Amino acid sequence: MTIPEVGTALRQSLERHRFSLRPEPDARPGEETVHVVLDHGGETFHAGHVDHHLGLWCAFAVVRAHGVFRSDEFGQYESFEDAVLAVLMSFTHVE
Amino acid sequence: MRAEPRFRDQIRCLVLKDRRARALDEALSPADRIAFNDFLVSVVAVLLAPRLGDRCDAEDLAAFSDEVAARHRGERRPVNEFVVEEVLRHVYGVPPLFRTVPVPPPAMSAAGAAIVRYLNTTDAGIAPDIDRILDTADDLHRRRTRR
Repeated sequence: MTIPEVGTALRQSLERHRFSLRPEPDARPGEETVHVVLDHGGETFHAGHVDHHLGLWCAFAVVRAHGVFRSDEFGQYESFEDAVLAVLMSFTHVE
Repeated sequence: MRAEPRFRDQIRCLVLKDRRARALDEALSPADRIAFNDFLVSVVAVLLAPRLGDRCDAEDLAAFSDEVAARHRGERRPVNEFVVEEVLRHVYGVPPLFRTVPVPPPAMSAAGAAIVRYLNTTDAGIAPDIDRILDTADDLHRRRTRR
């Protein structure tokens, strides 16, 4: 899938903090998921993701260090950029 | 406008590692929290002045937020460098990143507290001087909120 465009301010902020947006590898047809990841010291850490579902982007952010389910949902947005912002303001851990 | 004594007390407890800091934080009403966060911005400005100076660009703010986040993650404390940076953006008058989706006030309090904790851990001079620092922050706060 192609990752939707985000504005300059958000793009630059992601770059400054060494975060990037990556499409779900091996996504099935119709599935649209974009991961928010931190590239640090050659390692990649996951901070959350956004899923496109029924016309809305759902924001999920990592908020627990332990357990099987470490992410919670933080809202549904018409705009892809707003969903990414919701992930960025909500994650408290990376995994 | 002077900061409420309980806001000063909360930051004093945070710096002196007094357990009342958490209870005071949890006692804040939604309206109190907005006022507390505004005072916290003044405190952070006073604490940061010797470190980052009174001018900072977006690169400096991002680098400092990453420093705060890395230290907290190393201690397994929850932290978010983007919200830490949002507090710093308020301090330095840089346009906020989260314009269309505002950061919840409790997250701003937590990020401000993370900055204070980080500076306190890396500068042994802050804790013994906390009353004078809070007086300076109070003066700054009165000037900021008079406008």
